[in-house]
Amino acid sequence: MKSNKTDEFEGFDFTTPSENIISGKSDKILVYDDGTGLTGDFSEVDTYFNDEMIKSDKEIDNILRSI
Amino acid sequence: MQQYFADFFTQYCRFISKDLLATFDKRLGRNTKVINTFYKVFFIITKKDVDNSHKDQAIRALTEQIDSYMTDGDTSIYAEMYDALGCTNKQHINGISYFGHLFRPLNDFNEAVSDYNKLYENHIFKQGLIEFNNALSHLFAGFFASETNFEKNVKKACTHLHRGSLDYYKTIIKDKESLTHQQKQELIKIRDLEIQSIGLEVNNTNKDEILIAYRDLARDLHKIQ
Repeated sequence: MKSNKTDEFEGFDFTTPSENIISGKSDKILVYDDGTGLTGDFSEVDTYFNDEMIKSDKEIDNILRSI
Repeated sequence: MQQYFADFFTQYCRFISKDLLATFDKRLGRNTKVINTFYKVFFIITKKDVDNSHKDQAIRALTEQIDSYMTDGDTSIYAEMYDALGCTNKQHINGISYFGHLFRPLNDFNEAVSDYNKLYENHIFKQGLIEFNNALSHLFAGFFASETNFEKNVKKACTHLHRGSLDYYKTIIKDKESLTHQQKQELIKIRDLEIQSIGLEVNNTNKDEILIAYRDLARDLHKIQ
């Protein structure tokens, strides 16, 4: 499996349509702890997303819709 | 392809130079929405037959988002953290052949995200994304290390993606108010199998069975197609 080739990985043929990856406006975050002791997030604050971040997020969603 | 990973993990390095400290900041915390962006861009750059123009555009948008993300908070200490991580001075590995191991767990993870998004519009599932972030952390660490180290970290990343997929389906199942007798029996069977497979490698057949069983149950409960 060892290789020195620099660019042999061409990507995967995912079975999932890319538009299904988009999770809408991303304005709500569902916190869930299944109680199995997995690593989690300690923070209790809402994460911020300013206008510029929303703009770049929309741009990425548009790419997902088009591929 | 190599360049996309280099660009992606350069932005990830910038992100964690703040995230590693923001976790301890009561005002900031971890920005799950930015992690969600990393997930979407990772999907784009690892998907075959996507035009380079789209990949370039995705990396550019990600960079803009990180530019904006980095401006809030104690920027001087994040700059120190970035220097400490030393990403700009480190050589990343050339061989990315081990990425092939990622395909199945990544595909499973994408399917789980997709199923979740069909049910919950405008929601981000934090626990699942944290597992994706854990996977990215391993890939990032491996990418700037040796080829041997990369292989080990790719395997660990696979484990986190598997856990993340399970978490997505568990939260979908959890959201169902009542289960039929048969569905309860199925859940007992899966939970038992899950306990028995603790400690096994992620490519073990039992682990696959567990994921498939959770997926089938979640889809059956919510009529997801």
